[in-house]
Amino acid sequence: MTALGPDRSLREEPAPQAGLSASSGRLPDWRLSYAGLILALLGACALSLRVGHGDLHDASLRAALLELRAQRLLGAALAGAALAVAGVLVQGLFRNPLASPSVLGTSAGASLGGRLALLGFQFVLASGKLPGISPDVALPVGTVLGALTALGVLLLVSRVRDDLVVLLLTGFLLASLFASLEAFCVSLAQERWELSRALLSFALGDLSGVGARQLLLAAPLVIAGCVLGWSWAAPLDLMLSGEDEARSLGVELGSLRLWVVVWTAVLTAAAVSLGGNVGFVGLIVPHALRPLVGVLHRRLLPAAALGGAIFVALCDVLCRMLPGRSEVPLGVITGLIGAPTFLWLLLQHRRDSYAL
Amino acid sequence: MPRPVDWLNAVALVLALGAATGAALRPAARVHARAVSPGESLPPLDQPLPLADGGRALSDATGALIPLGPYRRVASGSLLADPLVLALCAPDEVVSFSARAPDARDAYRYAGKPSVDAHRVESLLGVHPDLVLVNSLGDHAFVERLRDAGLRVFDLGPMRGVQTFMSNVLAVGWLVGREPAARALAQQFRARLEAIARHIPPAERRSALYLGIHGTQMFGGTRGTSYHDVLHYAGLEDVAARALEGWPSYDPEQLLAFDPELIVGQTGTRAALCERDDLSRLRACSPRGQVIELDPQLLNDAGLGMLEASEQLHGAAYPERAP
Repeated sequence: MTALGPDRSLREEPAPQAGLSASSGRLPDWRLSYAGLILALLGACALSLRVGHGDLHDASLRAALLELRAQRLLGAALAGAALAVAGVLVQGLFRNPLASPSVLGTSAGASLGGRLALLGFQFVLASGKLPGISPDVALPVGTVLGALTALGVLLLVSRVRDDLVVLLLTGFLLASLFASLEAFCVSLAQERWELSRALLSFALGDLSGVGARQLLLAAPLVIAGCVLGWSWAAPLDLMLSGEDEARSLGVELGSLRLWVVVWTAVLTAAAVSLGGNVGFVGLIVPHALRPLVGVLHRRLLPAAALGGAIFVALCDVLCRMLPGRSEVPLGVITGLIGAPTFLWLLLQHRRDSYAL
Repeated sequence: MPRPVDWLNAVALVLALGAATGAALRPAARVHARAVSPGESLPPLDQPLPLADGGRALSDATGALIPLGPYRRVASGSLLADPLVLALCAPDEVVSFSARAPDARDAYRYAGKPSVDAHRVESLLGVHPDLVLVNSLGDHAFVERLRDAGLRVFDLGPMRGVQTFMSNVLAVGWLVGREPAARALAQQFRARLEAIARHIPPAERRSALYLGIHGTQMFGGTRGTSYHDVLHYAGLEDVAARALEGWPSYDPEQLLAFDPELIVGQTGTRAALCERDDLSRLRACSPRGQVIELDPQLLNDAGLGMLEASEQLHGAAYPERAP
C-alpha cells in the first residue's frame, strides 16, 4: 500500500530532475492540449471508418463494413492506449525515458503465448476436436496467459529481492528467454506454409483479425489497467524527485513497484492480444506528449491513452491505404514512423531544453 | 488525495481477468454452414538439354544442369517427391524418403526406408544417395549447402499446383530413366482430373473460395496454387482468382465482398469461420451455403493428392450429380 504526504502539493511541475522533467520552456495550456487530442481522435475515427477494401457505397454491405471498421478502430484505440499508458508507467517507475513496456519481458511473454496458441490451435484444428474455447480467441487467450506467466516470474523474483535494477535485469532476461522460445516455435512451423505465415504475421503486428470477442476480452484489461494505473499517478509524480525523497514522503515503494508492474503487464497483454507485436507506441507517445501536457502523471496518463489511440488508429489506416497485394503490417508502419519520430523528438526536446 | 491500496488493485485485477475470461468463453453465434479460371492447359513437357559431352541434362529450379540418370540411389527430400519416386523407381532404387513421409496419409507405403530430413546434411549423406530430390521453395541456400556437401541435388522448385506437378513428374521420370512411365502417369493424372467435372458447364459452376484460418488470421490459396486447381477441377469457380493470385491473406471485408456459395478449408474451418460474429453473415455460413472441410493432409497435398481432393470436393459440392 502506498501513502502520500497530504501536505505535498503536486499541482506544480516538479523540479527538473531524473531526466524526465522540463527544465525550462513554457508548457502550453494542458486543457488546450487535451482538446486538441480529442479532436485528433475524432478525426482519426472518422478516417478509420472511411478507409478499407470494401465499398461503402454498396448498400448491402455498408452496415457490415462499418461494423468491421468500427471493431478494428476500437481494437487500434485500445491497443494504442494500452501501450502508451504502459509506456508512461514503466518510464515513471524506472525514471528512465527510454524505458518501454517491453523492458519487463511481459510483451515477449505475451508474444510467446500467442505463438504457442497458434501452434496449439493448428494441431487442435487438424484433429477436428475443438475445445470449448472459440478458435478466434485462442490467440488472445494465449497472449494473456503468456504475459501473466512472465508477470508471475517477475513477481517471484521481486519477492526474493525487491530492487528496481534486479527487476529490470529479470525483465531483460525473460525477454531474451522468451525470444529464444519464440524462435523455437517458428522452427517447428517452418514446414507448414500457412502456419509459418501466421506466426510471421503475428510477429509483425496486425489488427485485421480483431472482432467483437477479441475486443470484449481486451477491453476490461485495458480499462482496468488505464484506470488503476492512473490511480498510481501521484506516487509516480513523487518518484520524479527520486526514490529516497518519494520514500520520505510516504510512498511505499514495494506496492508501487508491484502494481505498476502488474498493470503494465496487463496492458501489454491486452495490446498484444489485439494487434500482435506493435513497437514504439509506448516509447514515442509519452515523449511526444510531455511537452504538451507536462510530466505530471495524472495529466500525462490520460493524455497518453488518447495519444496512443490516435497514433495506432492512424497507423492502421495507413496500413490499409498503402498499395500492395496484402496490407502492410502494423508493426512495420509503427516502426517506420516511430523510429524517426523518436529521433526527431530527442533532438527537438534537447534543443528546447527538455532534458533526457 | 485518494490512496490507491493493494486490495483495490487486487479486486480490480481479478474483475478484469474475470471479465476477459468471460469474453473468451462467451458462446459464439451459432449459424449453419455454404470468379473463373478457364480450362487450364497443361504445360509443355520438360525437354532435356544437350550437354557438350554428348549427354543430356535437365535444368532444375536453381538453374543447375543435372545430367540424366538413370540414378539408382535416389533420396526424396520432399513430401511431393515421395510418391513420385515410389511410383517411378524400383523399391531398391530409393534410399530414403522425406522426414514427413511417416506423417503422410499413406505412410505405410514408405515403410522400410529411412525418413531423412533434407536439411540435416549429415543424415542425408548417411544414406549415400546419388541423387537428392527436393522442393526448396525458394531456399536456394539450402540446396547450395547440400551441394557443397557433395550431394547431387535436383530442385523440383515451387509447388504451384497441377502445372508444376506435371513438370515434376516428367523431370523425375527423365532423371530415373523411366520417362515413358512418367509420361503415362502424367497423362492419366490429367485425364482423370479433367473428367471429374466435365459434365458441369462453366455457367453452372458454384462459386467457391479456399480459406485457411489460423487464430484470427485468414489465408487463401488461389491462382497459381494447388488449392485453386483443386477447386477448378472439382467444377467450382474460384472467386478469389478474379482479383488475386498466390496465397493472399484476407481481412473480413474481403471475404464479405467475395461472399462465395462455398468455402473450402481443412477440418475445423466451419467452426472457426461461422462462429465469428463478423463473418456469420457469409452465404457459405447460411443454410443455403456450405463450408466443405477436407482432411488437411489431403487438401494441402500439391501432388497426386490433388486428384483425390478434387474428387472429394466435387462429390461434396454437387452431391446430386455424383455418379
